[in-house]
Amino acid sequence: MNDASARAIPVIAIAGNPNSGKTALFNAITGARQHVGNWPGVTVEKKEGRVTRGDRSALVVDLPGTYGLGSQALDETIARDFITRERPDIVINVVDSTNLERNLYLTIQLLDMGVPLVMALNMFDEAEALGLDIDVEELSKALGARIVPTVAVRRQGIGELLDAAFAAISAQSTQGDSLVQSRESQYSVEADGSGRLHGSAKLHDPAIEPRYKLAAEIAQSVVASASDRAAESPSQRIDRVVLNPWLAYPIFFGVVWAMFQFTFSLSEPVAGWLGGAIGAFGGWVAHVLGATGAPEVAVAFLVDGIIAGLGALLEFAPPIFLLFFAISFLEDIGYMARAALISDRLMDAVGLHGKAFIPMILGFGCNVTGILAARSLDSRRDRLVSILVNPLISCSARLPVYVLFASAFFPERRGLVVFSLYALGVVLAALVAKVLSVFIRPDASSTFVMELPPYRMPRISGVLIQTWERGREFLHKAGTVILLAVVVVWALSNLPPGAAPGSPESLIGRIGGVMAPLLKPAGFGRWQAAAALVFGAIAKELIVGTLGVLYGSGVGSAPGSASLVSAIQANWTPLSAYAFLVMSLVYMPCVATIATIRRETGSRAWTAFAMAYPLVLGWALAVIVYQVGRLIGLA
Amino acid sequence: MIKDDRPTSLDGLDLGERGTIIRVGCPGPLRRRLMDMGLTPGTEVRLEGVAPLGDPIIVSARGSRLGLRRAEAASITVSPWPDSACTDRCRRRHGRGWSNAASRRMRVFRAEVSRH
Repeated sequence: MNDASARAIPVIAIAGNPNSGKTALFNAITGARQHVGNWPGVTVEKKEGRVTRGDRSALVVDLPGTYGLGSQALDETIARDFITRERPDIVINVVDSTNLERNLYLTIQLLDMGVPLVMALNMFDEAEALGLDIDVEELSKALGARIVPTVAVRRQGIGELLDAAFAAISAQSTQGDSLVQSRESQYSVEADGSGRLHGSAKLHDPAIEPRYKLAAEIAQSVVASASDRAAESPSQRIDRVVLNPWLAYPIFFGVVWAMFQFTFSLSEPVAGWLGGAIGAFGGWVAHVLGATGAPEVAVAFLVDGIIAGLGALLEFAPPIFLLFFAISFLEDIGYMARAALISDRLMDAVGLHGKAFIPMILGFGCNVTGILAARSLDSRRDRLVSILVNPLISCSARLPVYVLFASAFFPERRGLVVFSLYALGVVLAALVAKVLSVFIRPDASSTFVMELPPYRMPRISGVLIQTWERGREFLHKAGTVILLAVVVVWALSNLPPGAAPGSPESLIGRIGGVMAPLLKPAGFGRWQAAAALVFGAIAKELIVGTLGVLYGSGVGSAPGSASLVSAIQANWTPLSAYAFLVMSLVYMPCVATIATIRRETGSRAWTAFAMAYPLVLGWALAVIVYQVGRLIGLA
Repeated sequence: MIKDDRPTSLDGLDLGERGTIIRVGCPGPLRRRLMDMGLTPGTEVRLEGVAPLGDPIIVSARGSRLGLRRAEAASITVSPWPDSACTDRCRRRHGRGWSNAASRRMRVFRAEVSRH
């Protein structure tokens, strides 16, 4: 361990099966804000944190959850490479006490690699509740490793675990005879000169069976079960209902409906309150600055540009955070794995994978988050297709546009109009996915194998941490790209000097004027609409903001503001309004989404494609809606 | 009645039926993945359920439950345990002691009976 002693600070790596509570343990050790999901494969990259215990400190690395270390799958490669190349001073192997046999397979693999190891026998309380009596001492003897029972979500056993880890780091001594070590002769073919197995090259297929056999033997010898193993577990009983052929889909759609109901019914008052507060704040700033005699342009810039713009953005935060909260909650309960299972067949019909369901659902909050979640897909093709169609899912930034037009033209059928746009987005995503999956060659790993974790009562802190992790992407975007864009829109509508703000002579008016003829066939060939769409490509919520500026009610005007609604009623017909909404839904991913697609696909060509196809598709659909609507006599 | 216990594919098991994996016959990476998740030859598996549209299927093995598509399950050969496809009610009737070993003994017993 030359490289280990050369390091200034010892490194502790956390390895374990998905759903073994690895990330919860990482949070408990480091106190870091970090994602914990009851969803196989949430941690695709390794995450780092620091821990201090007494006078000693260490760097803690959370490796992706893996079942083994021998395969070429991305997550397993990351874990294996870290262990074999970085050589952490100690590996904390997190093991699900309720499922010792399956978890011990990885443990044995780690020990075979010669990795110094301390085991966290996690979820020890659940094992006890199930009537499993684990002989920790016996297990420790069999494996030749220090073992600490833990309950990571309640931070039990964490101190002891750290003490054991630090003690093992300082000792780094040879371990006594153990079952694992004494059977090494069985693998003399695989063992290298030193008689010890290590490195990925040695993790051959043939070793899987004996390792599992040993894991089963050890598990059987150390676990005494008080209850009948054959009895149905609570999770199985719940699944009999949740996965019942007749009930599965009604429950599935009910859950999705409830999730949106929760999101929008709770966010509406909060967003309204936030909007009011920001408006009042802007008024107060204008009053105070007016009294000090600040130049009028500066006051207008600050109040109508920055404060009003930020206010409009903050109104999107509640629905996004609430939706992410609901999704994280369902994940931690364990329902999302079931949702993936029952939607696999539907997703397969359009060439996608059941796991692609999560990126889709997250896309309703923010496409950036949805695209990032596609990392959990194993196959490159599935991931690419999920990324490319995700912008068609109606993110919450598009909702204010729908609400504004729907309440201006279809006040009685507002909900139906908004719903139809969400549904159109999903249908288009499915169709485009189908087409893409015909053209993109499938790779070998395009399969569905997924563990169904037991149902667990979520810890609210875990759900909140995860909600924050996901929502942060949006706030980051709001804080940088969008704020800048709001300022640019304000400036363009007030330049050149002398032009009336938001008039056809302003820069924004000229840009809109150039684009407008293209939009004529779709029924909204006005420069205001064109300008709104141009800025909407920066961020979809700017469509409302830009119309607000152009119709003279400020960038941050609330969707329901009376002057904006009447201006829109004067310039659109119900038919052209709907065509405009279809265009707004489809036409182009926002700048933040494009940047994310670029980063995640690593391909300029695919990024260009992701920008171009929605533009063509959105324009074509808007034209079809308007022209067909006129033919059948709608106005 | 003795059930046919000739080897079948994993998705060929009856609902609730148990079997022992004989062979995992799919190509490289998937085989590795299935085996890493515990589906190795010699493992006892049970067909737990089927998703509403008939695919994927749910199997339990080594204390965990896995969802996998029929296409993948088809490459796994199992030797079914006769009479293991009994309903939950039937298992309850046999009581707690109705272990897998007992059902295996029952199979031998029934084979004897039918031969005479």
